[in-house]
Amino acid sequence: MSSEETPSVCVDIQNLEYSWPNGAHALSVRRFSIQRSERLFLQGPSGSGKSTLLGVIAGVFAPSAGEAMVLNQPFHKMTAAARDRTRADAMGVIFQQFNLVPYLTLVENVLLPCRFSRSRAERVGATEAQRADKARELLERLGLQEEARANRPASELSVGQQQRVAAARALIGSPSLVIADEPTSALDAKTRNTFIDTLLSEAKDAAVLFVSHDASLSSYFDRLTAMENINFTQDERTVPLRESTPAQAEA
Amino acid sequence: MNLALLAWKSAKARAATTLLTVLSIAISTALLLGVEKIRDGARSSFEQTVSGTDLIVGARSGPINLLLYSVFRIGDPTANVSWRSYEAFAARPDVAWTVPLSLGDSHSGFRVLGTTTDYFDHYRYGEKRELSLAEGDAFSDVFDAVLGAEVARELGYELGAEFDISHGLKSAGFADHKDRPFKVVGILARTGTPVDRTIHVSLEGIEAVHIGWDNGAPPIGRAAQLAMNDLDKSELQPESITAFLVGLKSKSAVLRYQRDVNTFRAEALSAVIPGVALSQLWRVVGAAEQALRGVAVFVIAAGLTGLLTTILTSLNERRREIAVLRSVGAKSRDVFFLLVCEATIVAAIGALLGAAAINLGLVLFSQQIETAAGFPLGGFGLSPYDLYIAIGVIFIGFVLGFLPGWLAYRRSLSDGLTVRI
Repeated sequence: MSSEETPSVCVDIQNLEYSWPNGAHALSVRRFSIQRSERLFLQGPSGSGKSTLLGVIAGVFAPSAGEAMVLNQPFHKMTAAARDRTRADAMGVIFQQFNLVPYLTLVENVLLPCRFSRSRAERVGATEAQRADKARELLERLGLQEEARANRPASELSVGQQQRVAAARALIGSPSLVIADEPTSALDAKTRNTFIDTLLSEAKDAAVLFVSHDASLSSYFDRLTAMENINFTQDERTVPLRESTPAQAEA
Repeated sequence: MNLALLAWKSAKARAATTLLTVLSIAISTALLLGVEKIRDGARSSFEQTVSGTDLIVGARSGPINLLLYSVFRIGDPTANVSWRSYEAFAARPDVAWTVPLSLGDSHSGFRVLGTTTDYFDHYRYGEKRELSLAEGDAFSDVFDAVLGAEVARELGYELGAEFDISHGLKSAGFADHKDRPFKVVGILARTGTPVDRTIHVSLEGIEAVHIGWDNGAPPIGRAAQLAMNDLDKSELQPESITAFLVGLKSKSAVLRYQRDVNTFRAEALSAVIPGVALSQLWRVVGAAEQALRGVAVFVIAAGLTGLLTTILTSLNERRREIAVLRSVGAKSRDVFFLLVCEATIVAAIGALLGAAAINLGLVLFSQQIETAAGFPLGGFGLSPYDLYIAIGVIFIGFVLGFLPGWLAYRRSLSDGLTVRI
């Protein structure tokens, strides 16, 4: 699988346009890229189109126009199912909160990507038992040894613990790209710093795209990009495509 | 496989609502199957009850009525057949055998049938099976009685037991023939027909308990004394009977015999062919059966609508869960199948539980149901029909799952990785 090759450019977006099915123009990005193993801090307030951009990079949204090369895959030409496969194989995603499936145990939550990608499951371990061991090791390294052993339901964890389980899930099976969408906004300052430290050290060779409105966190990262410098659409929801002039759409 | 497991865990996580939905589907499935089983049981039991009898003759009435009171002991005869008419029709050259039946008395809620020993020789049930005695012998004396298997079991009577019979059918008859105790001389083997719930005595026995009842009331004073002392068998010939069964030497004579009975001038009589009367009965009962089945189908529809409601209600609280699954690589169609799987699993558990419950229930309570119905119900047990209905319910559950599946699919496309709530 080509996602297992190590391209020098992890994400390469050119002239990307994205409009919602109702016609609202959300995204207009001329150039955006992430290098291999790069830790990129993407800053922007809500409504700046960053969630949409993450959706395109993760492969859940298909670009309306332009090119989106992600992990050497032409997402702009691929089917939704093929993009989903790439995400399962080689990406990890952490949300702001409510990351866990409440009816699964911690280990089951961590191993979720293995259910959707055989290659990822094989990278983690040959058997179910080996994979569970790997998941427990990873949870322990993230400071959840007791919780992992007790096999507690996800709903009993604190928000900080839940975020660490989410990080373990994003990192399991050595993905090439980790997308973290405001993962620390529900955490207090101390937990937040530990979380970012652990995430970045466990991510090893993976590229990390870290999104936050809080610019003070940018010091942890190789590079900072602000949404307003890459997205040239004014508003992600209130400007329907049919009202925008052709010049705007091409801009 | 993976998705089915996830769907199962998800359903299990909402145990309370899932359980209620499963229950409502189970109950409705059990109802539909139960209606059908009791219907089949009643039908096969009725069809097994009379066999090898060419005609049933009684006072003029509808064929269904005649069939019901003479063979199934349901309802009451409108009038009697005079002994003279009976003898005239029994003596015809085309007749192989006849069995007179005299009804109207009871003991502890069980009907007493006055007949002759020909009854044990010629009455057939099921696939032309003969009656056989489990214990003792057929009656030979005036006050001998032969019990059906169920009568003996329920009342706990053994050979030699004595009992009184009462006029009418109340279980505690207001006019007990206390002066005339009957003695059990034989107990029939179980047949699965109304015979099991019948007490058989001789025609003379029936006559004997009614001696002196000239005014339709028990004899009193001197009349009673006279009646008691005066039991000469030759004088106990009945003046009338309720009905009689006829076996003819040749099947081709049936229609002629029937016409002769129906046009008999001396007395208004009816002759019915059991099979024809039964099919008329089914036509009458059919409408009620359709209505019952219709109700059961609507109950199933309600159960399955409940399933749909539960899953649709859960969709909102599951948007996060679905976004999480998408983020770890679930395709949109995986989300669709997850919900379809869940609907199918819940429907399947409900349908199988319902089918198991109704079958178990009917087996466990068959005795009580038979007692309540007054006639035996045959043919319980798993049938292909159970399987078809269960598969049908599961299939409908599967198809209903498409709606929440499709909604979640659509939503997963627009939500992407973030959920706006």
